[in-house]
Amino acid sequence: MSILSREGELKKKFQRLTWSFMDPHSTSKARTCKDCHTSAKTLGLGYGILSYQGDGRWLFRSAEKEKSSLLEIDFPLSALTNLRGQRYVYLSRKDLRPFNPEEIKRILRVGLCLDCHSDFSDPVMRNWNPQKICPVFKE
Amino acid sequence: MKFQPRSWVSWGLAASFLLTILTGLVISYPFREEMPLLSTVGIEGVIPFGALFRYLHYYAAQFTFLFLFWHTTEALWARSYQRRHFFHWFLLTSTYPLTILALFTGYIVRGDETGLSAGRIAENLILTLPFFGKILNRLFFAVSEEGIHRAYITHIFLSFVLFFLLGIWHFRLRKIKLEDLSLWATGALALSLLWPPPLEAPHFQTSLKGPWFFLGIQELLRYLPPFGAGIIFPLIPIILLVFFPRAPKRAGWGLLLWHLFYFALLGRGLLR
Amino acid sequence: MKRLVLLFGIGLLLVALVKEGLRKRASQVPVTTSGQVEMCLSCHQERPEKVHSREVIGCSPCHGGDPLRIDKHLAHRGLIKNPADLRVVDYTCGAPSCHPEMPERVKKSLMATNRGIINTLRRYWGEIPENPRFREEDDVAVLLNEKSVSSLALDYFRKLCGSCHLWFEKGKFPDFLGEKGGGCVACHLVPGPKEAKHPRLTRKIPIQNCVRCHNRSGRIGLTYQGLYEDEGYGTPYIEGDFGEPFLVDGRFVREIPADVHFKAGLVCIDCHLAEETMGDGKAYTHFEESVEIECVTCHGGDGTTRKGRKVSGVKKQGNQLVFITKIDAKVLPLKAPDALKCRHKVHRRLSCQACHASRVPQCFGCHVRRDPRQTQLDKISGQETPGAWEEFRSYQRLEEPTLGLKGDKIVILVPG
Repeated sequence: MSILSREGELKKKFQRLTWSFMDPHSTSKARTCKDCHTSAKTLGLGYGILSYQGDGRWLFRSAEKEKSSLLEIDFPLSALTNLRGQRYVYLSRKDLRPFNPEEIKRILRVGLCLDCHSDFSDPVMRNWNPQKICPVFKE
Repeated sequence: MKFQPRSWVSWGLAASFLLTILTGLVISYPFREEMPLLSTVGIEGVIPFGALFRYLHYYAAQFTFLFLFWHTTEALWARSYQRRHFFHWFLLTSTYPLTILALFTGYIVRGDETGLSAGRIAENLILTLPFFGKILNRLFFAVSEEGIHRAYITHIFLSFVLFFLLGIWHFRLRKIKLEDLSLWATGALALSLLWPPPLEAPHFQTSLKGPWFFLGIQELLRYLPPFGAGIIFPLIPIILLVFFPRAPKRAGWGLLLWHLFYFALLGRGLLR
Repeated sequence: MKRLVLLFGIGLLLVALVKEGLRKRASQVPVTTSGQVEMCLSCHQERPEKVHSREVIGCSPCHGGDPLRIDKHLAHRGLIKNPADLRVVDYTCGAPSCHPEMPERVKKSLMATNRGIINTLRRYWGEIPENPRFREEDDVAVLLNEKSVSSLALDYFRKLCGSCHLWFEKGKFPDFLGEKGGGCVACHLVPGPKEAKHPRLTRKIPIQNCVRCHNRSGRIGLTYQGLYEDEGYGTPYIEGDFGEPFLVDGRFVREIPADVHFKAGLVCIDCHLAEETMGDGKAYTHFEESVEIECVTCHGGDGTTRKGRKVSGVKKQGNQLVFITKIDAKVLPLKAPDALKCRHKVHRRLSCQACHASRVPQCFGCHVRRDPRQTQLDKISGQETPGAWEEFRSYQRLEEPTLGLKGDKIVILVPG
């Protein structure tokens, strides 16, 4: 927010990015499993590309600049958090939070399996067990 | 020279009283006591010249009341009671509250919100009077049982009886001049054209108000029980008036104080 | 002197006679079915809808004025153009014999107080503590009555948000603002047939009435109907000119797939209960305290909300629950959530919307600027005051929603 002076120059400013929760009222057929389980945007990382590094490690490359001197922020504008669990923005209620790194990794791991076990019609998904180790894909 | 009640006031009183009666006669024809509000509105909005006669009737009646007040004050000031037998004085002064009653019932007869609340309040007040309350209510009001019927009878008979008895006994009816009549008719006409008299619709009411001169008593009802505010308090000036010849000085002060107090209450009631 | 008075009297009499001759008199005294004298009806031909019909109610119980008079200047004293305005509603719509319980309820509701907006705004701007609590003073009614209550955030609220509340005076402001607000009629009024000369009051609130306000911020009113407020302008589509529709306030919208409920014929009031929209008598700070309908109220539930109230559209037909829409009375089947996908234990934290809302408009990098050299209309006081606010954004997208947690529920998070 900027307050100008009578001369039209910047007199006072402050910055605060806040996210809120809502029901968009755009009900439709459910998103696919992959749509959420492989999406950086959905998980709160913002626009960008996620790649699996093996050994449970993920790399996220933001589509936006990490730092914006124009906006004076040092995080991508579309992100809430990063893989290290840093929180970038305020949230409108006390009980709101982005996913934490552990949750993000848990969700993304399911995404790795979806290539072969596409949905709940597959017994692996139906009887999902996080401890189970895939005999085909080397994590 | 000794002070005398001024003749223009006295004849103004007689003339406006006569004017009230004449205009009342006219509007009594379209008036239907079984549907008071409807016919009052009809007189105003449907009947040709109805509004004019209703307005004249209203203002002539207001003149009558104000002249009566002034004439009585002058009579006391002139010590006219000294020239009268006590019984005569008693009869004469009792016409004062009776005239107010005739005026008051006129409001009830109107049947609008002011009239309805005036009727209800008056009925409830007079019923607090032990023994006589019921009889007097049956005689004058009984609005909750019979609508405006009894108030209407009171209004018409009382006005006629008062006017013609006083015309025989207290002043000479024959001596009312056309000049006075036309003068006060002009006054009433001017007021009618400037400020049409009130007729209160039943909506958006947050407080119910009776006739303007009654608001002092309504105001006092906020502080005193009905019997005190509605019976004892208004009886004080009547008693003082009747017994004025016995103790003129004290009664005079009493009346003055009572009226000062009453005007204060009235002012407050009007402002509400 | 006497002659002068007499002459004056004769003059007055002439005036009175001419006046009487020119006076428009009624042919009879109109009376409503309840026996109330209603002289208004002798001139006025307006016909509201059946429930508030002229024969039954007349004009004055709603519009004030003096129903006992025939002269226009007397009859129109104290006339109320919009009886539903919250300033007068206690005496009009809320009269003892009509809807007495409503004014108090509505005045406490969020659409009248805007408490959530005011509270959040002031909190975001650091004017009140971060820890949200109920603040009586965050209320449009307070801003209306106490002009001294002022701050930067409130100045912003007055100028940019101040037209979306029920205290807003209908018809007072120019252009599209004139259509907004008006107390009860902000929602309950629809245009009547031309010959009726009077709009109609309705309980079947069309979606347009809701969207007069609910079209910014989350833009749910637009999204629901399949509209997306896009940046820029409509590319030349039709005869070399802009093809896409514009909103009344000049914003450009693009068509997107509508909500399935909209396609099925449901409008806002099919889901949202009277207690949510008009308040349930309690004063809340935020919408989530007031909203009680959930997806599972109808899908899998028996139509009972989380606060235990019944959704009137849910009815039993045979041994099946159906939904009957309010506006067209369409009978729709109610599907329960998928037993496997929706009820699976791995998805127990998911809200329905997390999967079933496939798109949401997101406005990134919202920026506001106040320029003291210009003036702007304060929509609360109706006065043009120094300081004009402008809104900017970095970019706006119609995108897949970002998810996050509210308590232990996975919900949709958007910037703003």
